[in-house]
Amino acid sequence: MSGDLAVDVRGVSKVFQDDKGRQVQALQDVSFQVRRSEIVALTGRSGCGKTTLLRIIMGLEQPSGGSVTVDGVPVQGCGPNRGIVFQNAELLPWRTALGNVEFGLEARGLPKAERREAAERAIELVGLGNAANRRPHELSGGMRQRVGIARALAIDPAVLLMDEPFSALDAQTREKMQGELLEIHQRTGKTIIFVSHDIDESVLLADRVVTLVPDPGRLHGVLDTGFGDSTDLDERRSSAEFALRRHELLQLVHGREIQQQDGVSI
Amino acid sequence: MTALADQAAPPVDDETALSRRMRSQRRSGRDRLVTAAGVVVLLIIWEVAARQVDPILAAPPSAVFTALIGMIADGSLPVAVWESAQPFLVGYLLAIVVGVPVGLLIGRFRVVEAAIGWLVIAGYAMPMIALTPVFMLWFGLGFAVKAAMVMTMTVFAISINTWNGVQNVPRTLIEVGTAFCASQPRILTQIVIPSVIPSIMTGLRIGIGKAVVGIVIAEFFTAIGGIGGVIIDAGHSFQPDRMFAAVVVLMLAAVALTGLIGLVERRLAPWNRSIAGGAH
Repeated sequence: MSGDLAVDVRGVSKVFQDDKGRQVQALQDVSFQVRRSEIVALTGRSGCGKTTLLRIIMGLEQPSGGSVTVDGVPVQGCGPNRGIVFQNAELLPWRTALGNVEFGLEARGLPKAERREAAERAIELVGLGNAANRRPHELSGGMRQRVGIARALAIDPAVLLMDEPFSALDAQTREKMQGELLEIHQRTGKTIIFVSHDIDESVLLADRVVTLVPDPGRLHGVLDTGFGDSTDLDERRSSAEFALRRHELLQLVHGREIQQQDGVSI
Repeated sequence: MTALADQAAPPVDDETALSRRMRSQRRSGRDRLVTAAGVVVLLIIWEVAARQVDPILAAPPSAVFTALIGMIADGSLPVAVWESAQPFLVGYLLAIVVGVPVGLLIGRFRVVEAAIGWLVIAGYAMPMIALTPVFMLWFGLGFAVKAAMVMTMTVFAISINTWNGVQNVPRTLIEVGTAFCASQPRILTQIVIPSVIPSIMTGLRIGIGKAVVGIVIAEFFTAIGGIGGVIIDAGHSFQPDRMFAAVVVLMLAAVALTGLIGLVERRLAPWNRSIAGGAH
């Protein structure tokens, strides 16, 4: 049973201190689990703590209480079992696309030849093989984010963690990238957790959507999207499930209770 | 102008905003023509005006040019330039060698900032010229005092800009390092220092102007050799043509050196221009 579990978030809470020294409860007793190869979205209104929660899983933030384990290993700071994709790609501007992908491998002390090979494989995977030697300022926003994804994939992590990965892109690029993420998921079978404030995106991409509500940030519900095996985004978007799940997720995000109707013509 | 500046670290000098704007301006052929016309008009006004006054008080450009040729021909100008160039280079290089690491340390470690940050700010704000007499007591009247003056004039501008650059390294980029388990030394060499290079270059560019002031001041006070010596000697002996010739050389040297730094900057940090230009 535990072999099937990729990420286990257990009773995580986070208390911040604001500028005036007051204690602010950003997260309160959040627990959920992510199975291997699953895509899970974290969503909710602003201030619900979804980004804080992701940062705790990333190891960039310490929880005030509770614990996170990835592949049975407790999260303590950074770790090669998690590949991180930032909102604005955050590439090093003085490095080429390939050099950026190599960054995480260098930090792990891989020999040069191995590093190059792994980076080239990752950059091919995101379809940027012919732009490998360009610098970030010569790439479009979508291409930059693909480099960001390749950098995270290159270290061959168990889990891919993405913080609003497509929110900075224009609508058309975003749709294209969403499709490509599903393709990458199919090919690599990586477990993916991403934060999104976009209801449609959460429903379309995720197998399950974890919703949080603010004040204090806490888990409100988990929605099964249940698209089955179809990875075609247009097909998903025009399906009856999409409309239904979208409606249900809206209810959840706004703090209402829903009774998820299971087995709706899957 | 603010739109250009806000991507990079805000520089600690007014000249920078100006020079950045100048660099970002696309020089069309017409602009060049207007500039050339401006120079010609200024030279004509100067020529006409200078001819009206006593030749021991001012010299027209034609006389300055003749003096310049004469000083090159008799070898006095090349000797003076070489005499100034050596302490200038030594002082300037010392300022880089000291100023950059100090700026990096202050920016990176809070303890160092608390310990010597105030000193760098005070040193930058203070007119170092005030120290010249005491420098002459310490370093004598030769090479050493000139180099020391250049160094003290320059080092604070370099330090403060480097420091400023470190503080403006995007936090998210450092987070990338942390997220991918990069060690502190690796974060410093692979993320912080490359990010700071544009700010260091800004410091070096501002430093050129300060260093030129430093060498001239030192040579004024000591009145021995160098371009500053030529200026002060010519002034004291009522030879404005020679004086202006030396001033023109000084000006050209400062402009050329600043341009050289700009060239190095574009080689070292080619990404910076496109970022500062708002390529997003």
